[in-house]
Amino acid sequence: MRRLVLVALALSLSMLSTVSNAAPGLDGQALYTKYCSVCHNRGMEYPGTARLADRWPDQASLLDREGLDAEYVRYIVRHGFNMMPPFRPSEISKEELEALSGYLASSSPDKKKTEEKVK
Amino acid sequence: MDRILPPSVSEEAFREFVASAQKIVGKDYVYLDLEWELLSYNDEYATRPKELHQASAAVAPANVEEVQSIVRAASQYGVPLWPISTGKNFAYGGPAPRIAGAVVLDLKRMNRVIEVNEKHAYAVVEPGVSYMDMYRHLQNIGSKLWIDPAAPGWGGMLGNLVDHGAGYTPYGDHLLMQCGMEVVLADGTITQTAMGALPGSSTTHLYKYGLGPWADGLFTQSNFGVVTRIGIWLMPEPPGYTPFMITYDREDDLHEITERVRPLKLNNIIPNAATTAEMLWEASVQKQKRDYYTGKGPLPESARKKMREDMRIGVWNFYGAVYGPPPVMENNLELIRDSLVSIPGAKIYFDEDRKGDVGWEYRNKLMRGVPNMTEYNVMNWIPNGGHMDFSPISPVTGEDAMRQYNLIRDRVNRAGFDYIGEMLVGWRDMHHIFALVYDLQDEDEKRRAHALFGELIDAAAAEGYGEYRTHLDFMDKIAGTYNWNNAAQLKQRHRLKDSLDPNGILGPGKMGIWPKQMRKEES
Repeated sequence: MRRLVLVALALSLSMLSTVSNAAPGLDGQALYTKYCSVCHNRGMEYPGTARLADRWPDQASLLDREGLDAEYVRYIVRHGFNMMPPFRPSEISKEELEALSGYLASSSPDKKKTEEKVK
Repeated sequence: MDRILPPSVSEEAFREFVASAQKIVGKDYVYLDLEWELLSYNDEYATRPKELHQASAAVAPANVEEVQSIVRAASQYGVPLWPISTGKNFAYGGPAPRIAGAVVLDLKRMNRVIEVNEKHAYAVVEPGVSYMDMYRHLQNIGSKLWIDPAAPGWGGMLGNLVDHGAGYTPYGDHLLMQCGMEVVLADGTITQTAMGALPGSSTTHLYKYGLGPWADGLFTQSNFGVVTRIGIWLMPEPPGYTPFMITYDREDDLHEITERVRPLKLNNIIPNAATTAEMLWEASVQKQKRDYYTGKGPLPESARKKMREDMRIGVWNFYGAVYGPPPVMENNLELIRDSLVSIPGAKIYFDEDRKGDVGWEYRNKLMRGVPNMTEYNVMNWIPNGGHMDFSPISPVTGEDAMRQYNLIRDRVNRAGFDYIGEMLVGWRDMHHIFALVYDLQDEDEKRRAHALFGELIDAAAAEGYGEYRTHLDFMDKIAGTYNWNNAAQLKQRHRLKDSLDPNGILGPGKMGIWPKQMRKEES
C-alpha cells in the first residue's frame, strides 16, 4: 500500500516543475556530504547507489540523478524507502531538509562535481 | 498510523507532559506529527506491524540539564521514556520503543565531542556523535587516533557501546574501551561513575574502576538510567597495518580454522576481531541473489560454486590484520601463515591482490577504523530487503563453531532463507552473527522470518548458547533463556529497577527488565 502511495506521489510530483527550494544560509552540498554521501556516492560500495542501480543504471548515484523533485526528496527522507530508513527531525531539521532537497533537485555543475569519499 | 497515548496515562496527563516538555526543550523539539515526524521513529525493518512499537511522541533535548528536566516531568506524569542516541540500532529495532505509546527520548541533538585527548588517547562524547562524525572530527583536527566503528558507520559511539556492540580493530570490544560515564537517574539526579565521582579527578577517563562497586555496566543494555556522556579509549595510529584475507574451500574447514584462531587470539598474534565469514556474506555485499538464482528458497550449490569462482572467495573467508612496526608485523604474519594458511586449499590475499573488490575494501577500512556503510549492501541481496541479526555467543572451538553453524543453517534453509553469517572471535568468546534477510514487502516472508527467529532462540538455548543482543520483539524471550536458579539474575535486575526507578519510567521492557506495574508475577 505504502509503495502505491509512493509511486502515486512520485508521478504527481514529476509533473510539477523542479524548483530549487534551498534555504538561505545552509549549504545543500555540505548537507549532502554529511547525511547522504555514505550511501549515495558513486560506486557499488555505496548501498543506496547499488540499490538504485536496478532502476536507474546510468544515474544510480544521487549525484547523477536528473529530474529529482525537491518535494519527493523531502517525502523520502521523512518516510524512508525500502532499505533506507527515514531520517528523524532531530537528525535533519526542517531547514536542513529544505536546503538538502533543493540541492538534490538541482542539476548544477557543483552537484556533478561533489563526491566526498570517506578515506 | 493513529495517534496513541502512553499506557495507563490519561489524555489530560499526556497533554500536560507534552506542555512541560515543550517548555523544557522548545516546541520545535517535541515531535507529535504522525506523518512527518513520528513515522521516522518506527522500526523500518519490523517483521510485525509497526504499530506494536509506535511512539506517542518524541522529545529531543539539547543538553543534560534538559534531560534531567524531561525525566522529572515524565516521572510526575507517569510517562514512559525510551532513550535513544543516534537511533541507528537497525536490525535490533532502530529508534522504536519496546512498548507502543512510550515517548522516545531522542538524544541525537546532544552531539558534542567534549574532548579528544591525544596524549592519553581517549575521547569524551555525547550520545548524538556517530562514528562518521567522530572520524571527520579527528580528520579535521589532524588527530593521530583511530576510532573503532561498527560496520554501519552511521551508528552512535555511545549507543553502540552501551548496547555491547563490537568493531574490527584491536579496540573492537567497545565496552572494554569505555572509561567514565555520566548518567541521569530516574529522579533526575546526575551522577558520574568511578573516578569521575572524585571532585577534581584527572583520571576519570584513564582508570575504569574508581573505588567500590564498578557500576558502569549496570547502565548498559539496561533501563536504570540515561547515559548522557561517555569516555572511550581510542587506538593510537600504529606505525604499520597489514590486513589479509584467507579463503577456504570446504564447509568443514570452519572446524580447523576456529581451532587455529583460538591460540592466535589468546596470544594476541591477531590483535583485532578475527572474522570468519561464510561466502554469502561476502557475496551479498557485492552481488544480488537473482544474478545467480531466480528460484524460490536458499541458493543451490551450483550457483554457490559459480559465485565463488566469479568472486575469488571461499566457502569460508577469514579476515584479520597485524599492526605495529614492520618487524613485528612480519613476525606475526609468519606465525599466521604457518597456522591458518597450512590448512589444505587455503589461499592468502593482501591489499594489492584484491583492489576494487567491494567486500575486501570495506573490511580493510573497518580494520583500520574507517567508517563506511558498505555492509548495508547485505540487504541488497534481495529486492526490498530488511534484516534482523541473530547473535549467539560460543566458546572458540571447532566443535562449537560447527555445531552453531549447522544448528542455524539447517533451520534457516528449511524455512526458505539463505544463511548469511560470520563468526567474530574477540578474546575468549565467539560472536556468531547471522543476518536474517527478508523481503519487507512480503508479509508471509516476514511472518516466517519472525517465527524462524524464535525457533533459533529456543534451539540455541537448548544447546547452552545465549544471544548477546537482540531486537525489541525478542528481548523477553531471550531474557527468559537466562533463567538459571529460577531466574535469579532477572529477579535481581528487577530489584535494582524498583530501587533506581520506582515509578518505572525509563525504558520499560529493555532486555526483559520491566517496572513493577508492567511486570508479570514472579514466583
